[in-house]
Amino acid sequence: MSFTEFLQIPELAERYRKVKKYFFLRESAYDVTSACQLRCDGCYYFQGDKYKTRDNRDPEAWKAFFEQEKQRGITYVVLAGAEPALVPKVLKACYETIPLGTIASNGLKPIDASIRYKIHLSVWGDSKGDPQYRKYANGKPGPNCLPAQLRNYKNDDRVIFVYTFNNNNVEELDEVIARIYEEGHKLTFNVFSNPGENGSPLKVVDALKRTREKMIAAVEQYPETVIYSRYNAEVHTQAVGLHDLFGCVYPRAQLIQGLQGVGISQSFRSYRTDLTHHAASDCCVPDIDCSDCRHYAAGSAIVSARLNQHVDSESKFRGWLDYVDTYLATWIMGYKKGSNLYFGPSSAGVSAQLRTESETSPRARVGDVQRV
Amino acid sequence: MPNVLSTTDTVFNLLWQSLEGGTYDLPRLKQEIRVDSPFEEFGFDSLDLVDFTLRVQEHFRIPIRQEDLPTLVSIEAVEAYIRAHEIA
Repeated sequence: MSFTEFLQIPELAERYRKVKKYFFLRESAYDVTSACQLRCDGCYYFQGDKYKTRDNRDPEAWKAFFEQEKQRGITYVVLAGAEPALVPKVLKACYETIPLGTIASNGLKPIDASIRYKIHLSVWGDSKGDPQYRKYANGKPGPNCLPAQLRNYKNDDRVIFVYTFNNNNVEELDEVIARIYEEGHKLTFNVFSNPGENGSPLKVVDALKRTREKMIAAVEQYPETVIYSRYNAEVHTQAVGLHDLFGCVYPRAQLIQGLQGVGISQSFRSYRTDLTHHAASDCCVPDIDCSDCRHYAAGSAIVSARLNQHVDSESKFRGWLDYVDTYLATWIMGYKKGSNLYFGPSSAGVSAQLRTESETSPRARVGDVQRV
Repeated sequence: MPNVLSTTDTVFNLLWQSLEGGTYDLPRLKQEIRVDSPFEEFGFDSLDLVDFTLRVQEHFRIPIRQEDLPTLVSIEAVEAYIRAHEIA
């Protein structure tokens, strides 16, 4: 079957029409402050040299900057690094200019309710693990963030919790998901991706299979709480990262490979707190090791952009639809995720399918795909 | 005589099919886009263009390589690609 034949299947056509309305999104990422209460193991912000920039603290300068970004065609912002909640005037300036976006926060300080961006609250482990992985800036064990997050964002429809699996915390999800379910919130998953310069003890070495099984079990047991799909789980827990699976679309990776790219490969920028950006680091997680990248934000761009790598089988097209549906429900206010359409590859594993495809596509040069 | 569409008309039709359901003003686009109009002038999203190239690939039975996508910048560029890759 072919792409247009898949679109003759009513449930696939309906889902494709649903996600297609959002193809217009054109995103960039912005570090808005170098301040944070915490220093988390392997935190992407405090890797590399981007945190050494001098913060621009003038809301009017930020306002003018976001106007320029809007003129550049940016319709979606991701505000991160280090802790955006600490600069509410910058958030306001951005929201008043570009009304679609997401703020990545540790949740320890509430963000004003008038900022109607999605808010991704990071969770790194349970009540024992979270304080170990996320220390205070002075190096002492950090707080258990989840109780404070739930208190600060009770019944807040902007929020989705993001649980980052690392090599040590797979089973810690149980306590976390139960609390999030009780509070009626949503949860999605990230997979720890190793920082490029300094390796982290949290790097996922031998926990990929357990992580995948845990993700899929959570999707099945908490279907109203967990915004995720089986295909997401398979993609993010392969032995190789997203770059080797699909070919990274971010300008940083395109530059390294000498490619021109289209769409996000040309428009995405990763701005620092002094309003500068550099093509060599234009990526949503610029200081991680590309070969270990399983980051959920990177996947949202990479997998979604690779429609053409998902049309040689119905199961892969179903997986792509689930992935994009999950991405939109995670990042767009008011978008409701539909039921998952992908139930696993019909014969071989998804990685085997990807390998088959890679033999006839440019990705074959990037890397091979190994079953976990 | 059957009404046989030219390659140009067929490529245009495939483009309109790709843009349906998006956020575009299709009636206006159908008036404004010429064979040599650069797609970027109309703000097409890259995923819409991927959708378009998948339809072109399928209809004309030609493979379109990932690295060639940046060269498919207009209707006439797509036509030239088809001519260069179709099996005689």
